[in-house]
Amino acid sequence: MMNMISLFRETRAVRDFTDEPVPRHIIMNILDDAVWAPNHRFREPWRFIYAEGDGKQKLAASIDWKQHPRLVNTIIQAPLCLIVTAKMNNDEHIASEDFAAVCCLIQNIQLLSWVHGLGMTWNLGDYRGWTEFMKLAGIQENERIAGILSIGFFAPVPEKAALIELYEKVEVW
Amino acid sequence: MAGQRDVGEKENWSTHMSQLVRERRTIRSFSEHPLSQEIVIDRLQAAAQSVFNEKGKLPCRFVYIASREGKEKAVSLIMSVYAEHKLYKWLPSKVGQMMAERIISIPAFLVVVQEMEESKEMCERDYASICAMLQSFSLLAWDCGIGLVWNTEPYMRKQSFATDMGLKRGERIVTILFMGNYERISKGKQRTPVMKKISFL
Repeated sequence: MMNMISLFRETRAVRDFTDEPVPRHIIMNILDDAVWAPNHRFREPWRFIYAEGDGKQKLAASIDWKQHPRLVNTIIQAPLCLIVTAKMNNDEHIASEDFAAVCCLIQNIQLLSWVHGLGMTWNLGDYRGWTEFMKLAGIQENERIAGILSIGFFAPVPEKAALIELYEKVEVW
Repeated sequence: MAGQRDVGEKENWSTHMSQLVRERRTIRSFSEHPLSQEIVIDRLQAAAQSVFNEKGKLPCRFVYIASREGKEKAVSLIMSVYAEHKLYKWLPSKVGQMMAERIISIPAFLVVVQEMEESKEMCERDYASICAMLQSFSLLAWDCGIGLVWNTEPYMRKQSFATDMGLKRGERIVTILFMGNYERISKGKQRTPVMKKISFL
């Protein structure tokens, strides 16, 4: 029988998507749930850029394909590209807390998408120097990209994930 | 019909997940009832599985502290790093003792240790994945009545504390989760609607 634990165990990254468009209202519902992520002092340090169709193709075209073939292919192939930003801060501790909060939010998106039959890949890299991309996406000076998410329906169901052995990584006091 | 049941189940699970994500709260005051180590580790395993599924390597390890002696040791390390670095202006010994007792009464601590890669980019990606895993864990814990708080105070980055906690070179503490069964649940602050925080290309 399916339970919460097995649902989490089954969740996985998806890189192959069907052409079927993703209804915007489903994504908006997912995001309005996902923002219930924990965040310090209620700073809600996130913002979203939703790109599909031409807007998405332009984003993909601004990336150096030779350097980042996998990312470019994923953006082109997935019907939706959702960029999630985190607020930057001169205080390293606050910046790190805010980045963590946005990562929790992205995990919520991953889990909520999965139960809606949507797959997601979370791309995260060093995006310094991506001037054209940042300009197209409208990323502001005080923001950094916490994830470029590729979202879409998947078929077939992606390969079963390898089981993670955790017990040997837990020390008990 | 099998097809219909599938649809029904799918809708059911999306409602359930949506509720879980919206209902989870940060918990700072716990029942003293001990936790089952097996349940905690099982849920931690499932949380890891929900994030790390491509290459299988887990960039972190854990110290699970739930025995009286273990908690006493950890809390004395926390108190001494506080004193050493004067993280509090002045703490009368009686207040310090009360604070220590209060922390010891929390059923379990989970120290999350990141094993650092050489490249900064990899470290950041691993940190992001560890945070994602801990969010999965918070939800799975909540689902069985366990609440928690992420402690990220600066003391856990101090070298003396890391050494005393048994960290090796190339490791750092991401957070210490304090956890136990929850009794009272706060109402939670309404979030800003996503419409106000999104732009469309």
